[in-house]
Amino acid sequence: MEYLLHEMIRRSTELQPEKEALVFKNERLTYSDVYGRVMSFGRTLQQAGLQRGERVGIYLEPSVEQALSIFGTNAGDGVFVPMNHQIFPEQVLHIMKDCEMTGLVTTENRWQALLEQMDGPPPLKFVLTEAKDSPADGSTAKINLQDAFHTSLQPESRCIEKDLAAILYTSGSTGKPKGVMLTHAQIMAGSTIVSDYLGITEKERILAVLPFNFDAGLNQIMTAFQQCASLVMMNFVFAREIVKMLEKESITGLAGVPTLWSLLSQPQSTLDKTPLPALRYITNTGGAMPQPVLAKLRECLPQTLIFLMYGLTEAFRSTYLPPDQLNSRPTSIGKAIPDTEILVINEQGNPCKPGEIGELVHRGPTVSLGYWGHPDLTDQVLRPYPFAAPQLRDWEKVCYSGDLVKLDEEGYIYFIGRRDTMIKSSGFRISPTEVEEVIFRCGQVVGAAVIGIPDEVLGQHIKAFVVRKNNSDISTEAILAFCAEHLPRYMVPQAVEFLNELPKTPSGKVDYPALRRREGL
Amino acid sequence: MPQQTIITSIRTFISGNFPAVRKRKLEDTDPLLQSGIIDSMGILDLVEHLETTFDISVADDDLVPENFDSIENIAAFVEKKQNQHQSV
Repeated sequence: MEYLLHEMIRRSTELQPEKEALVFKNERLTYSDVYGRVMSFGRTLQQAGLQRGERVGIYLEPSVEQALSIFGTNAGDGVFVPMNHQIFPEQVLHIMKDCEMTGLVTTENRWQALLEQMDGPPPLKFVLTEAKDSPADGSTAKINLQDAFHTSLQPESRCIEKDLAAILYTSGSTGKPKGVMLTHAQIMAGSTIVSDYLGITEKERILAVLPFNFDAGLNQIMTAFQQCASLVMMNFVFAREIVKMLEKESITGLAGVPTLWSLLSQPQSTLDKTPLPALRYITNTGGAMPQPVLAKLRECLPQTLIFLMYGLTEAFRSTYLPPDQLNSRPTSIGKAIPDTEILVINEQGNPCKPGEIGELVHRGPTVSLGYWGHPDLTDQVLRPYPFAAPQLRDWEKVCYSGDLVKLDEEGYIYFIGRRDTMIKSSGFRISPTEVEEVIFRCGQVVGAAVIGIPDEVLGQHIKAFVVRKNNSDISTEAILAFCAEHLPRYMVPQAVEFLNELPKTPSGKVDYPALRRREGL
Repeated sequence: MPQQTIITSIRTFISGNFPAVRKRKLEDTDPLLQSGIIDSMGILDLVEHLETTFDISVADDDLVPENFDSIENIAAFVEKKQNQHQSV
């Protein structure tokens, strides 16, 4: 049996050692290659001083090394912290500090950029990059990344499934990104459940284009390795490259976010001219698929099953709409995934009737352990199961999503909006305060508030309301340029409006609903 | 149009629309795509800009990263398309 994430690879290796497991550019690795490298990596980290439960960051572009560092960290009894390669050094430093990181896997360029922004010596025990024979930076040992994958040593594993496997950083409505803690058992349950309803078997060839720091992206690699399937990774600039890859590699499954599907549905992608008989299913997550895009995909891919999914990192995966329901309710996020119960609860704490708007509450084996180092926030999101028998006490925690939904008569769920001010754009969760803080840092404003504006392609785009200092005539362009220098592109507002003052609530806080009303929302 | 004019025009568009470049000194040969300066949404804006500014038509087959991964390569691509246009 396998209880830990890297043990899934061991099992698949026992079943089919020569089966193609991982493909990236011209590298093609069998399960036996993958397992050997993962074990070697785990032992290397242990030799570098990694203790059970310590955190190792992964800050790499999509690559074989990026994928294998995940399982290799687990094999060394560590916890992996995947980071999007698009984030900037200052955001990496936040994560490094927040999760008290022990080691980092990155490139030499990225490491040098991080060193430049650090106040003191790096706080890590070790860092792995492609550099050879590189001297230590302060007390941080440097290890060659390729060497780490190619020792013949075996790690000593003492973890059990209750141990932490990963911390996924995600944004909420306030403050900086927070790390959602997931155990081996929770990620494994997510993989088993998704494999069940997507019908994933060893025949699958899955194309991974979503980042692994995103729960749906991580789940793709987990399902592939759990089911002894093949995973193809790629970098892309043009949607057309994805279509070519789907064809060339006879891909059977692809997960995407609405932005990706919008790109694929445009004529330049050549999706409509490329027959893809192997493509068995596609899945959408990270926001609602625009209806015209959905119609176009159905036209281009008549043989392909389309699954609309919904999930939040705090509970890993929550609902899906079975493809046979797409005709009758294309705007629904579906029903609970297997082995999971979704409750819709009103302000009084009672289950909602059909049509009544309430909060989506998730109960099941993929509910996370909450936010690393933020017990108060965790207690807001993870609360005792309200309908448990008193004898069960407060043992079981369920996840209060903050998403407002309603049910139809047959129990299908429809997304209405957020309870808080969190923005969701091109699949990313964005905290308004994180954007506002950057706008303030330009030094020429006395007030800033950002809201999400509905956007056909992105789900939402960001609009900033700014109050300038008395003597300032800073322009929209200058504010946007400043944001772009300090924030990844998906967090940069698309529009700025200058106001004389921001609307305030009686308690003196920014009145976000008033700003939304201004926009007719 | 001589190549230097094309380069200047492309550079102006990129610094205007992708302000992340202002932080670093952008050479004509610096990677634009790998470095995350231009993402897959942004590249479509760039293609549209090239089509209207230089009166070229970018075909599906032209949409490969090699044509767009530096200012120099974009300029070379534009020149190639302009020459094709004239010879037709």
